[in-house]
Amino acid sequence: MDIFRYGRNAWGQEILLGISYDLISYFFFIALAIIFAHLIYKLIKK
Amino acid sequence: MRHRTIDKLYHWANALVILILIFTGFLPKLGVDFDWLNLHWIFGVSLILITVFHILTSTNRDKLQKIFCLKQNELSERKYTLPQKGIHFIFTVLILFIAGTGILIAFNADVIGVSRRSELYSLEQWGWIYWVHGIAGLFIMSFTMLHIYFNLRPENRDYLNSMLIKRENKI
Repeated sequence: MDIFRYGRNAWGQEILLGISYDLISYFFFIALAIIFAHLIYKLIKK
Repeated sequence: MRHRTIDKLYHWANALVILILIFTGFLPKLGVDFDWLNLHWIFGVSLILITVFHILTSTNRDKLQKIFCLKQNELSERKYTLPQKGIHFIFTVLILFIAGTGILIAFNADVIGVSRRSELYSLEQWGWIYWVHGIAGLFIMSFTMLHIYFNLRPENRDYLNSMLIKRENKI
């Protein structure tokens, strides 16, 4: 899993550009997983 | 009354602005093509303005002393649960990071009224500024999803009602 996104400057050197776009789906699905885990926990606890 | 009308208005204005910023910030990166930059910086400026408004309308010497534990809350004032205080603290830190880096990024983007000053930082430094902006945005997205879910739960319905404008406060 990459957390950084790199590009190249005018001299061909690798430079940091920002976050890796892969992180968007990771953060979305981790939050979704926590929500589903809590939903299941509440259903079992009933 | 649990929340003042001014605080309810702030909360919903903040919610709307944050949602628009999440969508305009991340959807283009996922391949949804639209003119996002103007919307993003306009609502980014809105976020900064309503945050300053919130700070001005909700802090005074007494409250600040309580926040920094220099003075203890009266029992009747202890209306917020630990998770509520926690989410407020998390959003405070994240919004300060995203607003701070957003102001800097305005000098490296085509924002109306701001002349481009890319020479302020090196490419490596700009990279870190964009990284902090992005990672704070991702945490805001995740915590917003959790905040919405937990406040829609039946056991928290009274808390949600207390934040609605015309509902009577039960708690």
